[in-house]
Amino acid sequence: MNIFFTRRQMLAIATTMATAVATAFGSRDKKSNYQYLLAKLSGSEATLPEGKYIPFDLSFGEISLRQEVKLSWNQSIPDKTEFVRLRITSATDVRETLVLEVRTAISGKKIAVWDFRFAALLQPFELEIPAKHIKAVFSEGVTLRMIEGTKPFWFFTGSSSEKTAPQAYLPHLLVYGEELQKDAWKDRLLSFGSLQTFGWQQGIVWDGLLDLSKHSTKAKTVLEQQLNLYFANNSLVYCNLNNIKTIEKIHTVESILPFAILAQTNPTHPLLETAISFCEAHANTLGVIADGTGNNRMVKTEECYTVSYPLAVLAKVLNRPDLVKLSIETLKSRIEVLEKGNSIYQRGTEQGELFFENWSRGVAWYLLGLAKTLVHLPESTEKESLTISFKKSVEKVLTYQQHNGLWYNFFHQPDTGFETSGTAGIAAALKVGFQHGFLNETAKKAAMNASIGLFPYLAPDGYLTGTAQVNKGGEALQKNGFRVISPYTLGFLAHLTIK
Amino acid sequence: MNKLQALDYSAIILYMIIMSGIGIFMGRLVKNINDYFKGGSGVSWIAGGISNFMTKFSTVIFVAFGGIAYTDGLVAITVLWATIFPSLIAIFFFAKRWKRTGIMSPVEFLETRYNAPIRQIFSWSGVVFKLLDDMIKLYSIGLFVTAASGISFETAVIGCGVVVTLYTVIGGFWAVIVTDVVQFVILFFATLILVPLSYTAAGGIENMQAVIPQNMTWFNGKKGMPLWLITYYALLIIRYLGNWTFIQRFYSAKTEKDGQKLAALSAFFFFIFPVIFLFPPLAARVILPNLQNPEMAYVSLCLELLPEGIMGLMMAAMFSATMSVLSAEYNVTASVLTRDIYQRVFRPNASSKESLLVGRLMTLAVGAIVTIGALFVSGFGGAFEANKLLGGVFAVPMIVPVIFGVLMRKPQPWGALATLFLGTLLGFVMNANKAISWEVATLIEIAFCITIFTVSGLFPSKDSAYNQKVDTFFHKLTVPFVPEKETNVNDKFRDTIKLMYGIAFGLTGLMFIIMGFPSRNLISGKLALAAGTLCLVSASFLYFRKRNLQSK
Repeated sequence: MNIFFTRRQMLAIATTMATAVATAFGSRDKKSNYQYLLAKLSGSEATLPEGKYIPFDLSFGEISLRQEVKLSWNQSIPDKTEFVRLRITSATDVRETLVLEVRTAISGKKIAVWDFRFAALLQPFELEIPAKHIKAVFSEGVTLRMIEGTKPFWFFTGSSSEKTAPQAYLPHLLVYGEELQKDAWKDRLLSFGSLQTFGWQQGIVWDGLLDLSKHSTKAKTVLEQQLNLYFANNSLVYCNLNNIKTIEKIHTVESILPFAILAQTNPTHPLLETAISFCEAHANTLGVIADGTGNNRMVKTEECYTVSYPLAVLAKVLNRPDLVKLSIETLKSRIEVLEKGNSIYQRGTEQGELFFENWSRGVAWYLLGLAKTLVHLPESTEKESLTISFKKSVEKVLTYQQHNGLWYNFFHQPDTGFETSGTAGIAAALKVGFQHGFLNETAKKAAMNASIGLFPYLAPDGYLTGTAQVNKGGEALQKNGFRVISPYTLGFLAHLTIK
Repeated sequence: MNKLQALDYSAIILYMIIMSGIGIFMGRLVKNINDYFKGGSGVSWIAGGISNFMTKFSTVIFVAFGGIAYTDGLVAITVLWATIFPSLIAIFFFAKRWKRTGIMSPVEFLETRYNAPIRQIFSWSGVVFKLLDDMIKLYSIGLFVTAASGISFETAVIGCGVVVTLYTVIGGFWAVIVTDVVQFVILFFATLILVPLSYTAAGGIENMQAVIPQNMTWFNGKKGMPLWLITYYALLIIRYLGNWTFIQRFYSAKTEKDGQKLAALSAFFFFIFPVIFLFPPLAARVILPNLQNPEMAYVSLCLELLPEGIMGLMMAAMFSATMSVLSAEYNVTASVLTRDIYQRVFRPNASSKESLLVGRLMTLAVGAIVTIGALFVSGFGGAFEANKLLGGVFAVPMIVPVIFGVLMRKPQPWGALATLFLGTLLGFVMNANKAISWEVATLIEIAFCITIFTVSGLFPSKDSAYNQKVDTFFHKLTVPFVPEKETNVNDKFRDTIKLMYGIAFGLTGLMFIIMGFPSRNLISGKLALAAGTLCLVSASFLYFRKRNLQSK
């Protein structure tokens, strides 16, 4: 029997074999203009109370009122270091004001107080080390002491075990020079540095990865890997907001977003049916889905993105026309209840109470939810009507965009400050709307302006800073100018780069 | 010495027709490549356990181990009990892991665990190794048939090769499983018949102890020496744990629990059957003390003790032993050629239909190569020696990165490569050096391979993409597999499988009754009739149960 190979096939074999040894020996990360200098820890020993769980069983340490932690580096300052940021990443969902005091470890000089209020799972916090303390930080290390807070604060640590968080989430000094790397955010997105708590945050990251994966095999691989961390073996395992290991259960309508991506990558996964059942159980007689029951039902803009969009996808992928109705009714209810005059409210009751007027991130859910749902809905008069609503909403929102491309945290209240997560989300919606022909060039231009405006807020390693904290502290927390890093925003940035 | 008679040949022909029929019937159930190579993950633990046992014991047992039993006695059983341990180890360390990998070929995971080149290297080298290994197995059945009949070695090898290729090509994994179960029944009853006959002919245990006292001890001869036994046990455990068909049984199981249960069931069979298989050649030393070739002890005893018809059943049993191994090997080797080479390197976007067609063509190619190659195995120095050489040189370096790769997170891709290349090189050097005994050479090779692989873990990779990939893989191994919900489609499928078992058992029962009837006055004939009746009762039970379920 003669066996023939084409030239291309021969090349494929030859290349595979020729690179075998080289790749088998691994390769180093490409050179970056920033460096993570991992800290050596002491005093962070922790035992998890029974029933508690740290995401993915990763190694963690503890800071409490009784337990001070020391971080040290025992190395000289690397060449070309101009700036240094200290980072640690939360392994718990904080529901209170929590403040740490940072001092040099030997001389005891106070460097700063470090605010971790309402920290989310898998959220890194950073502290710029003033130039005068950099030398001491390297030579002495630092101590972290809790000065406000009642509960132990768990954070990810490195260990010799196999269960170690990605470097970006380990305690480290981020050292960098003046020149910034434009695409560093992609390094974070295309790594486990974009892992987030299961629900809307992880869903945003995956949605961005899914869009990016149409043009990038690396994005596709990372998306598959991250999905596998949660949905492996027909299951769903994650750490809920109470640090409890949760298996195959869905707690809120905001947790439906990840299923939109799962449906598009693994349409036979059995948990899709669980998500559908959850939505059906939370629908009223009209088919409007919301958390709560009776008069306690609260409709929120989040559900445009976290419910309507997944349902539209599921309807298409599983050929379930009944889900189209739920998707549309859920959207329509938000338009009717939450959009009033020139304002879009983030939440309200079906009885007419309204909250969080023109809150940028709330508007981002609204617009992105509309845009993404419209992409997947079948053609109908209702879709036409929703498209018109979407265009009108966008027109309103664009009037609030500032000259630097950003939006204020509350559009009409400049004193609440610029806010980057809302800006990134709105820009992503504009970009998606333009790509699919729902919006015109004006929207595209506005999205581009937003992208330019966001650039100064990117950390040297690519995380977006300047985001308002997750909405656990009410309006007061949103209006006091407190800003943090939010890795989920990497998903928004992915939408912005697609041509 | 008697040769086969007309009735014996008809038993063999009937057996071949049943096997081919099963293959053709099961082919109708194959809808996609997942069915073809994994049985749609719907194989019950009983069938899986039987298949796991059947795919490890070929005619080599009756030829090579029969020779050891004849020469050295009970120690052959001691040696063969090494097969129990891989299954026991699998219950605790591998059954869950393999199911959780979610793979469709046994080397597919190497890309996620290490990298793409390693998957390719192990796929290609594994296929070559498998082909050589299968040639030896087919060669053994050729030897057996030639010794027992007037059929030439070439005709036996080609005939057996063609039938096993035919049913595997058509029916895929399901044909492998169902034929394994039917072949198990034939093998069990046929070999069981010979046990009381040889016991009586040898004058019972007391006479055997009097005539061959040294052979009635568990550690007689060179193979009873501690170093030899330790080496053989270690080698066999590694070989079985890394055997592709062994791994395939676990990832094709319905659930993780089923994987563990099938391992336990096969361990039970590995404990019981060596006694059934090796007692007759042990007794042959008393009955036929002057055999020139000990490897022919089993077949010689069959010819001596079995009447016409029953001898045909025994031949069918011998075919069963080898064909069950070969069909499984063909299927799993074709899965690697299709999934890991064709789909991975040449046609990543191949349609389901194309993949299935390629799967069948690959099975055909494997069957053809093995059949032709088996004709030339005698040049390697006999079945046992050739098998030992293959195992000693290639098996350990090829398997260590596979089985330890799912247990240990830290060893690196370069460790896997170094294990494969340096381990093989070391194996060759030591096998070439006659001054080094097989035991020492093998133990050194095992220790070397495990050490070099483990040491690579002391140098963690700084490649974040690699670490991320491996972390995902090991995380997946910690998440229990959730089986999909049962549906009406599953019920219908199960009914069809039961119907197939019913028909196959019915025909097998008829075969035993027809072959046993002429000898109905002899013990062997009575046993054959009893076995046939049992098969017919089982077939009737399956038929009526299916009817009752349908009427409900």
